[in-house]
Amino acid sequence: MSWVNEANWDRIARVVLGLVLLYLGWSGVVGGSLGTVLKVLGFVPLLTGLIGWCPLYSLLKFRTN
Amino acid sequence: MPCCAMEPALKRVEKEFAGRVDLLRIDADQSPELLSSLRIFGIPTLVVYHGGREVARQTGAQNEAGIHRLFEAALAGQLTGPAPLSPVERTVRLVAGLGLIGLGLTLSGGWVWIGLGALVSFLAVYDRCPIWRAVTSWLKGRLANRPVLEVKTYNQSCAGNLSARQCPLHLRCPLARNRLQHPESRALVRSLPPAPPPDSQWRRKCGTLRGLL
Repeated sequence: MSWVNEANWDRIARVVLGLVLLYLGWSGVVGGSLGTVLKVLGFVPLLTGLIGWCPLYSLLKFRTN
Repeated sequence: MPCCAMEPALKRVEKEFAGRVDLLRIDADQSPELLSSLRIFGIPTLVVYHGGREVARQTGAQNEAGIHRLFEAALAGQLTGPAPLSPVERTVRLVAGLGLIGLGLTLSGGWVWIGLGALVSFLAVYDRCPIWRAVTSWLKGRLANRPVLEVKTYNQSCAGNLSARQCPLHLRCPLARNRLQHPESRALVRSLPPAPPPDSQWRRKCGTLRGLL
């Protein structure tokens, strides 16, 4: 698919990173305002890894695949 | 919806497959409603029909070898529908889904996470699920029996100056003919007088669809 701009390794790394951030945020390992940020921020790499398209890459006309 | 970059390659392949493959070009700027009805969101897009059914769709510029392979595969009956998920795609979805389920199991009240994980995991294998296949084929059958949109769309493309009965284009368009599955549409076509031979006037009016003839 031409709109995919992430390599396979990039996608898997994003999914794993997203899951780790979500775990840290939602499990309470990281508390306070940083924990709240992680609760939301974790979804970003998870979703971009799942769909294989990064809007930031598109803006910067960059791709890893 | 070929773009200028693909046009030379398309012309060469079209010449090679003349008589075996009908190549129809649609101008995206002048026929937005047709693109919408075909659910095309990127340009250029190459949609392959075989036996009245869409068997492949490729978005993005293709080189001559790619188009050649696509046509050969379509003629050999090797294309039967959308491409299956790649192993990497499945892996990514499974990792994410199982990770979310694991997250749900470690968190108190994590049913939402487990549900989300189950959904993402299912997306990794949905194309192999017999229940999913049965439901989607039933839905496609229901949608195929809708009154034909393409006929209306093609008529609308004729600059609005030709009525349904006057415009001969829709009777000549394989895409429209292939979708004439609804009894009302078939009855409409049967009731139409024979299409008049194309003249320069309607050729000009339907200029955007010249490639269909």
